[in-house]
Amino acid sequence: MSQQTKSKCLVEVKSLKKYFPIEKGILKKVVGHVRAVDDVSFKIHEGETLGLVGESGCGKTTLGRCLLRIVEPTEGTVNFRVSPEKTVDVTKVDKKELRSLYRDMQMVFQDPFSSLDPRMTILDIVGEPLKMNKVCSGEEYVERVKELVQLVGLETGHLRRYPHAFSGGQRQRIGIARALALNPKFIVADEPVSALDVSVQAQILNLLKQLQKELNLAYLFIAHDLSVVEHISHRVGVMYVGKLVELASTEDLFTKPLHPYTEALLSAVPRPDPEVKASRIVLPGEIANPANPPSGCYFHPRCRYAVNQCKEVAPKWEEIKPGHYCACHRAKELDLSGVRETQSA
Amino acid sequence: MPDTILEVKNLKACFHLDEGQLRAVDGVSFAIQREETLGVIGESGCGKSVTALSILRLLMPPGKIEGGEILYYSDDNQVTDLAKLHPNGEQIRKIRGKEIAMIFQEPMASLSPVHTIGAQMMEFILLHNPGMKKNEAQEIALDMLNKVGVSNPALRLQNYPHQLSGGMCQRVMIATALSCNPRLLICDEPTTALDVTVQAQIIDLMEELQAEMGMSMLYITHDLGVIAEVADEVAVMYLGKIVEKCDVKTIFKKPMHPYTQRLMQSVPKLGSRQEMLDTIEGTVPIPIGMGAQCGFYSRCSHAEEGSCSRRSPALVEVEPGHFVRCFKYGSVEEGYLESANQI
Amino acid sequence: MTKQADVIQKEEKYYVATQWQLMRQKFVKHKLAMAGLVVLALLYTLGIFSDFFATQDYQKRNTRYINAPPQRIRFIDADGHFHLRPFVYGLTQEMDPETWRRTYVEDTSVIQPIRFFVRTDTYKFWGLFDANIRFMGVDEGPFFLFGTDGSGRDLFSRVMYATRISLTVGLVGVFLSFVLGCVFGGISGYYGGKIDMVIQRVIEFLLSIPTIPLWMALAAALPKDWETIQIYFAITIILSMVGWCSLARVVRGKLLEVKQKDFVIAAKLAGANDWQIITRHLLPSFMSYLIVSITLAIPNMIIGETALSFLGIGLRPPVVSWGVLLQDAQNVRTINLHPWLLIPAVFVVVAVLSFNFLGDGLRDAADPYK
Repeated sequence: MSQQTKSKCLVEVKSLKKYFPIEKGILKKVVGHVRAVDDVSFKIHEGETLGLVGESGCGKTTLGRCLLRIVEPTEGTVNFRVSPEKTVDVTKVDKKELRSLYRDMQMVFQDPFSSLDPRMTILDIVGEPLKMNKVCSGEEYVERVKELVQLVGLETGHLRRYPHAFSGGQRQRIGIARALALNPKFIVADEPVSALDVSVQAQILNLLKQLQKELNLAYLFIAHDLSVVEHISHRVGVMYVGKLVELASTEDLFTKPLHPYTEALLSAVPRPDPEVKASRIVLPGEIANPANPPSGCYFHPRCRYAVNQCKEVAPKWEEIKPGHYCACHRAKELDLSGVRETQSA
Repeated sequence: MPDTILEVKNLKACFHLDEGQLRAVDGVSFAIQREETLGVIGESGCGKSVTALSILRLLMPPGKIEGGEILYYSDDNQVTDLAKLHPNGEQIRKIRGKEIAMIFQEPMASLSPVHTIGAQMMEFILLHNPGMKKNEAQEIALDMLNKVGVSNPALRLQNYPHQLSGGMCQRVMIATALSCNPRLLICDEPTTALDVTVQAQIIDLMEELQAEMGMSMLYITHDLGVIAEVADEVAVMYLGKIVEKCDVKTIFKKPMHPYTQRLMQSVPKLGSRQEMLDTIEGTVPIPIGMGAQCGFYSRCSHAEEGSCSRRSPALVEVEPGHFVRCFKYGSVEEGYLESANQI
Repeated sequence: MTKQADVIQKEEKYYVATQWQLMRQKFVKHKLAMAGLVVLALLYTLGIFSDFFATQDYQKRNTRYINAPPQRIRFIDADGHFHLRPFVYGLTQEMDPETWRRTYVEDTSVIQPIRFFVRTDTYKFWGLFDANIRFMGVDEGPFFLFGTDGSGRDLFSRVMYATRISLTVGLVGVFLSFVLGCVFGGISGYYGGKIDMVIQRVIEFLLSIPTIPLWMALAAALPKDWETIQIYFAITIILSMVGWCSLARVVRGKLLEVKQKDFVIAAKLAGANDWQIITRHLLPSFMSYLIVSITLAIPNMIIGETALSFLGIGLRPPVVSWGVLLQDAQNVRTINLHPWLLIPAVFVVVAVLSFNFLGDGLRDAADPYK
């Protein structure tokens, strides 16, 4: 914890917004906006993992893609520290500079099947960033690819194979090797294990952890599985309908959540232990529509602690405790339960 | 003493592919008791879904049931072997849906996009209750939607599936499946495509309904947490075989098969942080032309050259009610017998 | 042990197989498609070497044999003797004294053995160099395997020449529409936005025009004094005018689909520019689908040409195509009296069916990664 606060900030996101227009009719008149990412700010430090959880449609994937400008953000800044002296705003750079930025920031995808071009050999897939950036060629190129493939725990004898020769877990390793080709500092991992089998999941999680240690990588780890996020992250952010509702160190968030949504989310996770019949908080109703969110706090119609103020005023994003951010009017007064307490009790 | 409702004996199902014969289900036996839930855990490709489809005779070519019995004990103590019925015959159609219902993983894919929820539910009810009047069927549909917690059911009956969320669709599926008061409900990963909070709602709902309607369940999932919540008895499947079977408390407290042990350790547990997870090396092999060996041989840390690589162990009752398929516990002779049968 | 090594080697072969190798493996299992391929290979051989396969000059009028029926190839003569070499009987003409109608009777006394690789009159092979060997023929006398037409021209030879024209009209037309379709579909799909809108509306407009009137209008615009070759190319261009639309749609659809794939984003992140993404990832990924569309577009072109020529607004004599030949079979009376004039229609049907079977097989094999 203390070590992280000392380490330098690598990515700084400031009031990032992504609104998708809703078009209607032949003339494509804009009739509204889907607020996929709605005023989100956070920092990612060097060598740390920031976990990002939320339910489907909460905008976590869009947020990850905005950081790499695969999706063009509507507003806000993403400051990326390329070198100790130089920090650039990813949202402002031109195409050419963006391409050079991709040497430092990369991505690992969710679907191991659509993320590898089935018509290319492993050598070409993993080596593509090297080739495109003219890093090396010939012998050196093959050697570097071999090195990368070894790094992610695959056999170097299979470079001439095509992706169809590999299982989901192995393909995910290939995807990771490609992301590492240019020695990036920061990787957006978008649900990298959710398409994998349980036993393979663990292999990939371990690999990501080990690579982080060896290469001092920073991850933005997007997932919907809370136990996976808890396992891998140093800090965790929780999203609800395009907004960050809570951000804290993993320790704090899982033991003493401050936002009622986090509490409900934690309580909903089924435990692999039949003895613990967790007292689940069942949220009434359905997730809010990001095209037409409710007034005030977006979570208030489903919140059991909601008061009048929640219906009218949107809560501010505040640092309630050192390093523990939350957007809830009642964050200071509520005493919510996390998961570790339940277990010790 | 609860009595048996479904008994599967030595079920074998194969897929005939160009590459050879794929043994998806390879000698699976289990029984489901009245008002109890049998949970089946396994990774993709272990044959858990094929087992479920085989029971309802919904397995499509190139898949085929190759052997075994599926004994269904109906209310009047009649025994029917579902494996012997014609897959589209009248007998199975009477049982399918009415006596044994099923819920699938993708609620959106199981509902027709061109008909309203109401039309689909009523069609299902009328099909299994010939002679019933339309308004009676609608009454039942409304009642069921109310039961599964769908708000404003009268309006929902007129909605099309795409107008509902995934969770809502799964509720509709459950309502439809339960509308004919089935005695056995087969759930094939019903909450895998849903978010945790919705999953929590659905699991709570299913447990409530099971208690209320007194039905049995066969619950298939890969999620250990969900199994711990819903199941009374648990069967662990690997490569078309049940490798371990016992009650839910024992399996989590004292897993005995190396695969079950490793599987439990490889899942990150909420609230207990480990530096590194224990993993199972390698991947699930494809069961084509495997020959006689323990299916887990290639990934097992206890594997022994000789016994494990040449013979397939039998499912042995190691402790009362605790069955394990591993040479660590069973006698070699027994295992040898079974593998000889299989060749 | 060696068996196991074999299996491993076989597996490795599959693992390192390219897309095209996988496609071929899948394709050869499709029996109907393979049959289509064989038939088409045969037809194209006939078409390419039509001068050689024809038994005589297709323009030669055999005035003594007008509307002669096809001669049967026989092995057993009237006396029941078996001949190893196939033969035809001679033909004698009889005139019905009342109706003045000519009828032909086989003259069983004249046995004309069929000889292969015979020397005949000199002709110009491909219109380029002189040759005098034909695939088969008889020493003397009539030899009309498909009969003759109203001018006494040998239908078999005419069909051979027509095969060349009809099968290539399709190819040239498809090649043109392939280029147009790729360019417009590609622009439409890759850039999207306003350009996409305009191109899509144009395609919809073109597809909404009924084809026959459009062809008639365009064909009528062709100057009457054009050379046959000029007309030939004009017709192919007319055919491809409509043909490219559906192809452009296929290209656009596939492009939109592949553009969404994660590996394209990954390529962007790897530092690839637009051109590199198109050539390295997009084009290869839907090339196989394009080939399928093309294969299925050729029969449409053939039918289009046949229809146009049949209506008299496509190719015109002296050029022969299947459609031109079928012009002779336009009324019931001639079909009734001279049914062999319909033989070119059999070729049309066989060719179109074969292309469709081939396309079917290719479509099934097109995505080996499913």
